[in-house]
Amino acid sequence: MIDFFFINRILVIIISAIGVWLGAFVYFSNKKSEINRVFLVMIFCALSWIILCYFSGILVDNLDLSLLFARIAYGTTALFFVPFYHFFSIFTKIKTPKFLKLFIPLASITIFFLSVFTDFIALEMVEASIMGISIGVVPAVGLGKFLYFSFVLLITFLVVVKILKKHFYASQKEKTKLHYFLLGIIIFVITNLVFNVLLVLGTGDARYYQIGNYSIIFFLGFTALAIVKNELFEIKVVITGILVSLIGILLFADLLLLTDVFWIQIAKFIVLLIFLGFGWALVKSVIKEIKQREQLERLAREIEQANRELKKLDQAKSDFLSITSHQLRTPLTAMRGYLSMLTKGDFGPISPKVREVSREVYQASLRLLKLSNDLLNVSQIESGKTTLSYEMTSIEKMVKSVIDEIKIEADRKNLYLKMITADDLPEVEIDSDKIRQSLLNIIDNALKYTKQGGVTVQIGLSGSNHILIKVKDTGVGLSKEDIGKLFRSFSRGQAGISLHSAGAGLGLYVARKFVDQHKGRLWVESPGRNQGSTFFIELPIKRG
Amino acid sequence: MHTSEKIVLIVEDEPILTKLYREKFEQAGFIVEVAGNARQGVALAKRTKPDIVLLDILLPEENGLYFLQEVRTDRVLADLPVIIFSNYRNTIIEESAKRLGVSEYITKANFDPDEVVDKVKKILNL
Repeated sequence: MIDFFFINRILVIIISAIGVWLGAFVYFSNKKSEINRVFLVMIFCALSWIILCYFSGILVDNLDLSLLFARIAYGTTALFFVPFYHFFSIFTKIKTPKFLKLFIPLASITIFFLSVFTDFIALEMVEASIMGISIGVVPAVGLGKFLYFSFVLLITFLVVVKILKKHFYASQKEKTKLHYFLLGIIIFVITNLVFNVLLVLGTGDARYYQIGNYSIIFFLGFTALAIVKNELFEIKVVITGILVSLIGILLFADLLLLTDVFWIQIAKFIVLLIFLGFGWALVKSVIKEIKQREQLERLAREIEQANRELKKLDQAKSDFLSITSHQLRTPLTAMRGYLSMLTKGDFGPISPKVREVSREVYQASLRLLKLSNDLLNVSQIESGKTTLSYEMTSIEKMVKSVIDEIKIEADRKNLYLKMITADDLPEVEIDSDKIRQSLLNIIDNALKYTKQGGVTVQIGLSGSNHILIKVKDTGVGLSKEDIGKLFRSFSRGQAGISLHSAGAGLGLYVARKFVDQHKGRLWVESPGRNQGSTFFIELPIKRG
Repeated sequence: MHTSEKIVLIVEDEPILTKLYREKFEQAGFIVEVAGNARQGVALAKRTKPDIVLLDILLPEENGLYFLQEVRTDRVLADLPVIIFSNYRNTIIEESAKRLGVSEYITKANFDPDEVVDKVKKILNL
């Protein structure tokens, strides 16, 4: 026969021991933290309640004392809900309305005194048994039970609402903690609802109330974990663990208590071992899966952080370029202005030597200006700040003006620079400044990499909707590899590196970006090294 | 009409650039007035009634748009031709300037002084 009193005593000892240990564990892990101290008070109330209930149950020979213990137990339970509510107020940081701050302690103290000194809840002690097994004495409850349990349900409801509210805007780590609280509370509340509230309220049957009492250990255990541990395993692991242990315990109880035949016991023992093996593997696999996921999440966060840093860096680079280019322009304007006036004789006649030198310096200042313009264009393109202002433009006139501007450079190198144009070309809807800049960069580039011969610019139609500008040179040409790298922001073709050191290769990049923005195409063809290259700009005649 | 009767107002805060353009425009026969900031520019414009203005956009305190607004709301100066003449290019400012009726918006670093004089002459039909 099962000895109820023996099992009950063992349970109370185990639960009390775990309770004291949890309380000490949490309290000493951070004595200064209010939430840890409130937890200790909660443990104290819960254990008083369990221990008082136990003594009340076994005092079969002294019913008066048994009744007093039961009443104090009910009273302490009412007190438990004050630290319980306070605990979650601290954790969730959700403000408690003023009237609740007053109402909860007041109601709980009132119920405490009513329970201890009157027959508000416990009327008398009666002997009880479950399936013919004596379980000692249990309290018969009075009508106060309705008020008592309304209070208990109300506080529990308020706490669950707080947790759910918090859940909406909690971080992932906080959510894991909240899941622990919720799991603990759900086990505790459901068991209590069944054994301590519904059964007692409905039928007045308080025989099973100790099951409800003991379930508090789940709540305290999960709460302690949530307070103390910084990194918590996901609730999935815990539930799997609980289920495996529960089935294990049931199998073990079945083998020990309900099986008489020895060989069946052996068989059941083997089944139990196999089950435990599989259970262990299952829990481990869940842990592994979660760890892998966490690792992935951490990686994703790190990548995101790195991306943000890079974007910041990129922005800083663009700002730097933009500011420097603006600042560079002022002294350069003065330099080119004075040099231009000097060479043109605005300050009186100068010797041919001085004129030649000042023209060289003037050209150098133009090159610097072009570089600073390109840098500024790159910074604007890369920060997405360029916008196009379209106008109807004669491509023919534009090409002519670009050639006029750059002719001096071709003459200096003894290269020809000529233009061939088809008849009756339509006007094109473009941002003329940007396309002019692109064309200037391409012709300038062609001249730069041509030692003899020259550059021909040819304008014509491409189909009925596009205009095509070809810039053909007799220069160093390009290998296939060069072509692939040509339009990047800081690269120059292999031949370019040996031939020239001026220019950072920004011109072609800017040209391509501007043409792209017009939904046009810029590309280059070359039969190979030393066989010249042809650059093509294809633009839609109408925008859009 | 000859350039010697024409007044150019240059609103520019960089002394080296005002010196440069003053020199060039005076050589070309213009009368040159110079203001170092927008408020001074407005006052000078009201007093001297220039024929054309070269206006920088980035100026100390009030910017070039302030000058434009003041000039456009003045009965006498409302139709005064203005060339925005700045090393700073910004689409939003350019649009505002266009709405305030500027003749041209040019980057000064990209033009030689004689090209600037040519532009002014062209606008004044000289």
